[in-house]
Amino acid sequence: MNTLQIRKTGYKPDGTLPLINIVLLLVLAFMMAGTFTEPLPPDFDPLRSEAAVPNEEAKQSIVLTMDTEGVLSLEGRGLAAGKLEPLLNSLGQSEHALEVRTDARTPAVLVIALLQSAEGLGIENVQIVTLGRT
Amino acid sequence: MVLRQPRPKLVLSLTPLIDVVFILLIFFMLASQFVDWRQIELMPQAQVSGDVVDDQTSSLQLRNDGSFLVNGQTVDELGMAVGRLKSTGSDRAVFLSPEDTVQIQYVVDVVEALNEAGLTKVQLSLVEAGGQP
Repeated sequence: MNTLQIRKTGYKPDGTLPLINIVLLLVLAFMMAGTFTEPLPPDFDPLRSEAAVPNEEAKQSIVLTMDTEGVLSLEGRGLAAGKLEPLLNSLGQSEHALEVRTDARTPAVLVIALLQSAEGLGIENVQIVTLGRT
Repeated sequence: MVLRQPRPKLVLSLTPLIDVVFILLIFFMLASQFVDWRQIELMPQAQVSGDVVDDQTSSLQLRNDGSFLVNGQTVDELGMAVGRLKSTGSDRAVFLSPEDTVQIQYVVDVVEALNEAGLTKVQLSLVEAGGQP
């Protein structure tokens, strides 16, 4: 009887419930659709292509980013020049794929030199990733 | 007769829940990316010394001034360069070698133009000091 009285007198539908529902749906949408990758540098102009195929994320891939000067960064952090070859060597001996993101304005010779180094050190799975043209 | 005290009303405050959910929303909005990365086939030429253009391969050099060198002959337009390469045979491998200031985006554009023309065996190579790939 008491409970019934409380329901009758004390319970008022809260107007914030629809807001919570919408925000929860937004959280779910961001969780499902977004990916957690390191942010690109602010002045990074990504390479674009039309015929590219969707990037099949390898189980374990190392992301190298090359800026316009050819300076490499590994997973968002700067990579010293002397550390590239040991890194490629270790990649060549593992199952890791190498994913290269370059700025569109980077001299092509620097990218080709990197690809040749990677291939020369036995890395079989090297991917140049691009964005689709808008 | 003992009179029961009326129970205090149970009020479930939703404010902490809203706070947590909002913080989660802001975190996911800031941390997640919606960039659709795609991959492109850019094969480097194997590092074999003494590679020369023979009857199975063609060479296309991208010069800094925007012109092209197709099998040793200068061509000014990309369409003409692609046409010449295609006329030598679509099954030939094309060694594509940009000069030092050519941007990678332009190389990708040229590779796509070659692929559209049916020249799919494109390999990237570096121009050596002598000017030959």
